[in-house]
Amino acid sequence: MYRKIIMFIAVMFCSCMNAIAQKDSLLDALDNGALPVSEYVDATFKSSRLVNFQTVETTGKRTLDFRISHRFALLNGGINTLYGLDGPANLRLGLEYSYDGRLQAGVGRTVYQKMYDGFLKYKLLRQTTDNGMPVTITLLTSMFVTADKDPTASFTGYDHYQYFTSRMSYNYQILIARKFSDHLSLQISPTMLHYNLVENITDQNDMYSVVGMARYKFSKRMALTGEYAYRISKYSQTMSQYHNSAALALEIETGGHVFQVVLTNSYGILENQTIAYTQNDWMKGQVMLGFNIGRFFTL
Amino acid sequence: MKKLSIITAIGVGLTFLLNSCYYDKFQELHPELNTACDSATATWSGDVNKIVNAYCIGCHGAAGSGGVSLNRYDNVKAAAAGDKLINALTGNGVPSMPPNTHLDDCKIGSIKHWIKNGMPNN
Repeated sequence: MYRKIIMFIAVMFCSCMNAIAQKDSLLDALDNGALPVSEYVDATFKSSRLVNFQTVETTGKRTLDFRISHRFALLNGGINTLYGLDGPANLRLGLEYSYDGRLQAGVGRTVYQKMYDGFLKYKLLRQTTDNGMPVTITLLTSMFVTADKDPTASFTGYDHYQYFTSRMSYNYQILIARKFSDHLSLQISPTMLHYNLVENITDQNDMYSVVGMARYKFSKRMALTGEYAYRISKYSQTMSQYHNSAALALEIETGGHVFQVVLTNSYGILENQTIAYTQNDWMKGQVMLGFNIGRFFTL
Repeated sequence: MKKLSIITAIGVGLTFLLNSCYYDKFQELHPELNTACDSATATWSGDVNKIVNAYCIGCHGAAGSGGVSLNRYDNVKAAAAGDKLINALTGNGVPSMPPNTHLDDCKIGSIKHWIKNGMPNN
């Protein structure tokens, strides 16, 4: 009996020592850099929106993101309009949720054009620390439905929204981003917009663009961000009346919140409003203040 | 089971998205509207008042935003006489109005002709 117990203890001891030796050799290998550690890069951006456009980020597992976006009137209204704060202002309220941290769904309502929106977003590939995967790629599809009335119907007698489908438009984006360091992240997003109804015979229902984004984190909780949407396709004969959307923002992260103070030439907040139909021109000083707030709730 | 539900939901969503895609053009739906713009015959009741009611009155009613009220003929005439109205519609030195859209050339032309004709209450 004693012999069996001694044998058992001896076997266990040898096994433990062997395991410890293996662990030590693995740790040594790691210290020497012999075995690279592959982990997913996190926080490429701090929020699912940089300013108006979506980033590769999805909310965390079982996390609800309540978003408030506000755009005031043009700054060049001067002190008489308190630099645009008198309005008219635009507002979007949104709720966005992810169960597994990769597939995210969201809905929202924007005052401008009384626009309802919904989207699905899936984080397809994730950047790794060993550069096995150098970028994060997220797919995005959004749908927009306006509840607005046609302002011209009262005197033309023809309603642009005679058919419900004419109220709908869509956005499809491939979001490709890389976090180059703890400070710098860049993203590029090939984009296709589809409008079910356009005005003129020569107008295109599909329009193509590319969105560029940058984020530079300069302190533990603050970052400067910028985004620019370049319109590629000649989608409308009135295209020259509109401008490429561009925005700058100061991003402040606090516990459970991301707060962004925004300077943009786009009064609209959604992709179908900003990319194709931004009316204001940075070069003429036609910019407006705004802010975004994201509040996260873990459910 | 959970994955199957998610895939089904995405499939249903995509089917809905693709089935609701249309390639409509307003001018094709209503070819009878494709007539040349005739802003030279613009009147207060037939054109200018309707444009103001459709695009301006939402903010510039009786208690007008920015101190500009366009709710009556007299008020519109006063704004138009000082070039304030045309400058706002064309974004000439002031923020372009309406803030969310551009009036097309025909509508702005109608208002210009009405001003040129002495802004009659016709």
